[in-house]
Amino acid sequence: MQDMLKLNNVAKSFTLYNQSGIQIPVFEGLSLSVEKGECVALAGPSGMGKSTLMRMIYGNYLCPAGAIDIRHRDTWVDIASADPRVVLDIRRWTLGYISQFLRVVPRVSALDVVAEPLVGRGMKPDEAREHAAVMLGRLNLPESLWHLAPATFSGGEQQRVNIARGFVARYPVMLLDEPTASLDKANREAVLTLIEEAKSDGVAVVGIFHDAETREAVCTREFLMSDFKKAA
Amino acid sequence: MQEEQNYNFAYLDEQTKRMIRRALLKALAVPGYQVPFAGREMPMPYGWGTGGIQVTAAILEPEDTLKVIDQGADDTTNAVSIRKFFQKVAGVETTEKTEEASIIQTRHRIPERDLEEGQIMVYQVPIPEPLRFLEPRETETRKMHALEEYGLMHVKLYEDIARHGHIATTYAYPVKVADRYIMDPSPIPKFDNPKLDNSPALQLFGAGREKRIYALPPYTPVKSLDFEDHPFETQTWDEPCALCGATDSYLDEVIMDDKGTRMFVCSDTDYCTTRREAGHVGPDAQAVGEAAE
Amino acid sequence: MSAQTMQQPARNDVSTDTPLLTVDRLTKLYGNQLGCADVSFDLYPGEVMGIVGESGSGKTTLLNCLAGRLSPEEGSVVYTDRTGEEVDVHAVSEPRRRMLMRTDWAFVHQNPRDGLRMGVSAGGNVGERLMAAGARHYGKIRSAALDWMEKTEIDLTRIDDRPSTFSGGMQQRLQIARNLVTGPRLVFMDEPTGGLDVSVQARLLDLLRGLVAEMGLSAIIVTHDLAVARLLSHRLMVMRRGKVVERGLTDQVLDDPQHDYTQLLVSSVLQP
Repeated sequence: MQDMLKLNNVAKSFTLYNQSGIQIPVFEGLSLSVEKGECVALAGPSGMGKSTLMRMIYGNYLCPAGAIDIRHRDTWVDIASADPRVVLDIRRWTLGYISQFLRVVPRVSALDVVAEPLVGRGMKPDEAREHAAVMLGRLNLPESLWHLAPATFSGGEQQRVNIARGFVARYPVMLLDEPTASLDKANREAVLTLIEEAKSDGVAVVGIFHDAETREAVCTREFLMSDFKKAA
Repeated sequence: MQEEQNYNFAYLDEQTKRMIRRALLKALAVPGYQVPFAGREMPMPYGWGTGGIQVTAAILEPEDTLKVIDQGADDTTNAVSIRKFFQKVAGVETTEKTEEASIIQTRHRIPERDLEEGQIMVYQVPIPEPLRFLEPRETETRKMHALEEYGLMHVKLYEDIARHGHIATTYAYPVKVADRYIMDPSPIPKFDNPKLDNSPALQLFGAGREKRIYALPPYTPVKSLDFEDHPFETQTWDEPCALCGATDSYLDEVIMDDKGTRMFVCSDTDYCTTRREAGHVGPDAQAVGEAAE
Repeated sequence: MSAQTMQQPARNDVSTDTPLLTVDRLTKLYGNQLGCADVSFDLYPGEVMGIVGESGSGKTTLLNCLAGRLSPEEGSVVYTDRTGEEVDVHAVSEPRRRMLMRTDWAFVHQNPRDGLRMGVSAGGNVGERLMAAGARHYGKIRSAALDWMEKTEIDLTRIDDRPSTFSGGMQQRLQIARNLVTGPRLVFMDEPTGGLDVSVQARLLDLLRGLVAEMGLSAIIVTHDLAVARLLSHRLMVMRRGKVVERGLTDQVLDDPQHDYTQLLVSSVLQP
């Protein structure tokens, strides 16, 4: 199978200048490759830097050492050293990320929040909203909420908006940070189906799944983070 | 009348006249451009035409014949004062006849009779800067003239239409001179704007308080600004001049009594008189004649 | 399954772009006092860059130098116009620069009074740039003004009212309409939401975000409000004492700040 994502000798630590410059090491020497259609679960106890690694792959956290190569527009691009606008282009076309929390923009309706990735790719807003409606329907978000801004939604409702936004546009590589946390059984099933569909479409998935049942249902292998823990 | 010994010819000293003439030559070389000049104190208050008087004084020659009008009339206070002033300090001939005058100093009107080559119009200008009301900074308006950034002038006309449904500016209606400078034609009614265009006479504008001179050489194209869907139009009246029956002149409304009776008569007194002397009679001429008796 | 395929069209491939604005070692001094020093960056079509920092950090000075409103002591700002010609903003003639300012560029001031004609109706304010560009059809100018008032969510019945009768938020939206009516390519904004109530701010931000995306505008936004920067800008420059201390993708700079000053700035934001 074809590799989509290659992490090579990646390290991360945080320096807190406002707390007398203390260094917080997270991990080092981390390498990982993810193929098309694979779903890799980042495993290990909390504090190992699972979410940090996800954010580094997304370009949200800086990667000070090593390389994070992603197959973008049929060439390999190192996210760790890419120009901001290249990172944005990767996020628009190649790399999707479903975080644990929805960042709410005031006044923007749930439907538009979900449609936005498609509009960003140049689709007409009305057409994008149709796709968004289908996706929100699959995640059982009541239609009465679609035209409201998600700021007042419950945690579970916000999370479903977030997931719909992540799946409405097809990305060849996806990062899922606890996608099913705070969802009930029926909605969890809907999300699992979406992940399965993505995998069979050839999407390479990296995820964090605390719920063992979910992990076993969708993951093709586990990647143990504690192997790379750096001593403080 | 005898020339007063105490005054230099036409009041101003020769150096001042030379300075003003230089400004006039520059103004003629750049039609519509406001040339600054070192305006002098004149023996009358600002607003009485001190700019026009300085221009007239600078170009006046002993053999000139001067006509002075205010709102079209030769017999109003302002016109009479200025005419007397030049009789006293220059001893020139004066006239009320447009065709006899070599220099016509005016406030608010252009004579109805077609001007001729060799005649000079001198306009009294209160505010020379047409962009002033929208852009109070002189540094900025000068730049706008220099760079031909005239969008703002149309904003004023836009505002007129938005507020009144039509371009409500009826006097000091802005014009574009020789397809270059936007110019304030002084507070003449827009009725007179077409007379500015391609005129055989030389036209000079003097602003005393603001110390600016600008000019239109003979036969200069002068276009009144407008919109494609709101073209420039002059005022019209439903009735002819009550005294001379003219239908082609600018009419003033005259209130006849305290019952609201009114009539419209030519604002150009010379034009009206000349027509009546030639036998033209307006609808109310008789009534007016009787009332006067 | 979603109709979206994994195929990536060649369009908006960023690798083939040329910069809209190239800034090279820009330095501005006020006497011995430093305005901004040694600032260099490229801005690409469709990119929105935020400049953040506290008062006195030089961000507004930098913005004014970029927009040709202040002359720098050193360095250059080169703009590539619609025809592909490169224009050195501080070396070209003033007519050319002013022409750029009223056609290709727009400047949104923090105080709408600085960017509006308070004595001219809302419609006249929006129409001015059109008339400056040669529009001479009243009906068309007016319908363009109405169109833009609608886009900026201003009650259309207010078209003949003067902005002095408008609320602060409406004035700011009118300023934006007035600036964008001629379809500029590059917009400079100086604290566009400063001085507005929070609820009014949100509406304005949403509006700006939509317009920038819809028109494909490039923009440089100066703000001290990190939330505004996060919402509007693709990337960020953090300034302190006239110098750029950190730069990068907006969410990266805000979520994983590397410089001690940026960390202080981010951690100082109050959470409601």
